[in-house]
Amino acid sequence: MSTASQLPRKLGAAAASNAAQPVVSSRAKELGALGLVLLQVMLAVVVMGRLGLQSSAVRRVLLFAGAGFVVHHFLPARHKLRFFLALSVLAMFVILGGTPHLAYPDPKIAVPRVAALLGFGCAFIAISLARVRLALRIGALLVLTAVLAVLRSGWFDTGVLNAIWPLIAVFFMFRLIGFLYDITTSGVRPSFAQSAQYFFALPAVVATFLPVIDFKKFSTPSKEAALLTYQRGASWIGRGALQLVAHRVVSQVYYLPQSDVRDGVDLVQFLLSNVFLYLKLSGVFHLLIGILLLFGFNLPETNSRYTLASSFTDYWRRVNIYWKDFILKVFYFPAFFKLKKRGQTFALVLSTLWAFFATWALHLYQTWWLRGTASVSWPDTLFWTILGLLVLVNSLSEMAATKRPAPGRKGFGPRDALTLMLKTAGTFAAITALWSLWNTSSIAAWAALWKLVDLRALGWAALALALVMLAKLLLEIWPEIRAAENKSAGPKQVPLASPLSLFNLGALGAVFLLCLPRVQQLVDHPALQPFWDASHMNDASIEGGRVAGIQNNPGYYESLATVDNPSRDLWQTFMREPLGTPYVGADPSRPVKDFRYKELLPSLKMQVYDTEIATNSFGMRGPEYTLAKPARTLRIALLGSSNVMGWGVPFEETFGAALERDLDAASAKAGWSVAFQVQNFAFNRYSSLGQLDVVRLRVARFSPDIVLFIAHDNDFSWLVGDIQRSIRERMTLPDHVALDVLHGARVAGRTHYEFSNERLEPHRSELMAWSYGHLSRAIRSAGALPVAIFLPTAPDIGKDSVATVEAQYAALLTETGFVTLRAPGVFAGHDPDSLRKFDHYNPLAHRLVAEALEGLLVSDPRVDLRGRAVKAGQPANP
Amino acid sequence: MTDGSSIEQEVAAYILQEFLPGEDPSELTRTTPLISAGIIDSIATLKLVNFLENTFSISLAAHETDVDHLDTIERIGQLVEAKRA
Repeated sequence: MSTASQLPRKLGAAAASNAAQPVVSSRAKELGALGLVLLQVMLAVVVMGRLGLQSSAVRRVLLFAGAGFVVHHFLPARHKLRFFLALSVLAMFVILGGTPHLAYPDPKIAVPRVAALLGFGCAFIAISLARVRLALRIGALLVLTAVLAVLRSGWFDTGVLNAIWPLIAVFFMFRLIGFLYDITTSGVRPSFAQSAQYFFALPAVVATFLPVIDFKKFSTPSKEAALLTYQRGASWIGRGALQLVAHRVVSQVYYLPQSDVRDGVDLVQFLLSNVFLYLKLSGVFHLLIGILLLFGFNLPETNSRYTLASSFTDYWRRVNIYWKDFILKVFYFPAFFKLKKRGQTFALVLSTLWAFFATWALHLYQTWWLRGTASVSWPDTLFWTILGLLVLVNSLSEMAATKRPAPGRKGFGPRDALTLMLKTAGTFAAITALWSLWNTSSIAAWAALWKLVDLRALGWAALALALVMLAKLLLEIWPEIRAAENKSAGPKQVPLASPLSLFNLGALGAVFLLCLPRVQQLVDHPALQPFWDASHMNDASIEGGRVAGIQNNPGYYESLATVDNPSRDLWQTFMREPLGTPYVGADPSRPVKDFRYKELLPSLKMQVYDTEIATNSFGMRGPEYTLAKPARTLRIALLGSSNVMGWGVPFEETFGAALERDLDAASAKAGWSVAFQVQNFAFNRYSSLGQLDVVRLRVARFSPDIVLFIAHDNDFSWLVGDIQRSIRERMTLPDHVALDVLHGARVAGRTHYEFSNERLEPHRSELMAWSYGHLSRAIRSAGALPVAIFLPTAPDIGKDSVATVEAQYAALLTETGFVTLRAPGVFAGHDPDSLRKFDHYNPLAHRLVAEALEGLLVSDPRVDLRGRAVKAGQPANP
Repeated sequence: MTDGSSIEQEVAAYILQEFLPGEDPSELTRTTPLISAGIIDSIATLKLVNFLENTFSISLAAHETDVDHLDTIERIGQLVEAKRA
């Protein structure tokens, strides 16, 4: 059996690389080439800053690299190592001293963190280099690792050092294994300085994902002309930045989570958007390795067009070259050599399975260090098992087969080209399906997706695979054929810039220009909308939601952001942005299939922070109610957000409960002979569409006399989000008005909230009036009086804009049929911080609201509480 | 290949036949990078090791599959000679 050639043959290029290295023809040309390298790095920094790609720490390290490499280039060789090491340590101080509160590094934070990093690092290096038996060294390293693990675990609060433990793990968790293997098998001990240069290398300080750089490759002096290495480094930095731009578009515009897949076309979108999430890791790796190339480290590429792999072994060799080399060196080859006495096939099978078991286990290991927790998941286990088996089958086939000629060589014909293209399409399809499994919540959920395959899905899939085949032909097969026909010895002079560098400069320049508002106005075209949607965001807000546990994480690498203290601190250090305090605990709610999305669990009793949340059999905080209103009772239904629900506050101290007591007292004092029930239907993030469903599905059953709706300024963004969600999930809106508004403003189901809110701002009143109008009419249909009041959310208390916003909402609520109460000064005279707890109203704030509402309800003639009480207090007709 | 020991010639012939069908033999020199240029992958490395061990009656260790030892025909020749010495 023969196998068509896989990775492009590089015999011609390999021979060319062996030729005499090109030289720089003049000092001016040298400076020009250096300048273009620097320009590319700076343009990448500018574009990344403009789009908010990655953390500000990464951009600062790129600036360090850009400035540092020029100095490094002109230094005598004997000073280069010390300079690079010094630059790396300086970067540590600058980066690790980052805090959301200061514009400059805080030495009080930087010094202990750098000391801990260097201390542990030097200890790891010293133990590895110690001239004692390997078993003793491994034992000592394990002890040190255990100490680090205890510190990382979060059992002890180590203050400013919390952020450093996961970072030390990133520095050492994989590279230390390879380093120890290399120095043991080679018998050559590098110097401490060489080792420190390797482990503390500049880009590592900002890397939560660091390629497993091989120590030997890192330390081997480069034979390539230095300028060529710098040009390659700059072009990789540019490529990395462009891949991160592409990832932003894919993840924020086109990515479809598994839960949103409704039909076959959605399935294809889900599959394709998932596989291209890898662009993030690829982009970051290109940046990090590109930085090292700027300092003359002649390292190989991190991946090689993995979407064009023509077999599973080919995919494994392309997708993460550093990881593959690490696994081969430390796990695969040692296992094979130990087992080959029992037969090649036996050895191949077991060593391949061992290599993938190690990969699965080390990913779990990595997860623990970065997240502080790790658990075995079936999708993850199945992913690596299946991939391992597929690679094994291909390996056995390759072992038995003879190689076919490469493209452009004698014996390679059109049939071979077609075979290669078809195999590439098949591999791409299989890997895409496998990748989606890795990023799915459960195997059952993943399996259920495939039932959605229909003719349209197959059509789109065929188109995608045809494009893959075309890419294979144009990007690999055809260039190989042309290269074989036009053999050249390679340039004799270092060019000013490589073709790839020029392409990157052009592409980065185009991205930068397209981000400018003036250019967007001139080139306004719907085809560019996805890019503008994506460019309007920034990673600090995207990732902040994930790290704070507010949003779900689409993929494995995204999910390595977490909510435990060490990684939260590290994130804040890199991003220099504060994170909100997430709630970490059991979920008191369950999903529902309407615009509420979630509701409180019934008959619940649990601790949330330091507060008990208890619900009755209807899923409301408060006592048990009967559906039928008791005699001589006035019912008031409360609609609102988590502030109204009383998140973090005992029920008795919520303003709803206090209002009920106050109204009962008022009733007794006035002699009304009625009791009041204030029923709390509020929950987190109900938009006005959600409130509409609360009224229809729940409130109406209790026949309230008054429905009191608490409006917030968040209502607009929540409403927009829900309308977009209705598009994505094909939910029915009350009518088409809102959809027409969104369509006219070019807001689609997937338009990012920052962009959609901005585009719909001119239509704010129209949309709010639409939704509030439906709500007030629904309340009247339920036989109740719609009453509303605007109150700021806890974070908005004390803002200068509150008075203006309150007046606007008051007018809107009145226009749309509510009896509007007004208490703009409800929190006046109080320090805003004294009214908040966990970003919600605290008991004092609730007390103030209750007092204001009691006064307003009792005195407002439109509510006519007296008249209602008198009527309710009359005995029923015999 | 026009120079080098008979070991190198034998290795070169094997590499050309097994891994480089259709290539111009004159392009494969003593110093052509094999592993680092992607000409030899992991499976090919195992096949090469098997060939070297069987042809020259030597035994290689796992760590001798890297670029320091097998990246060029010249280095392979040196490895074989060292093993046989």
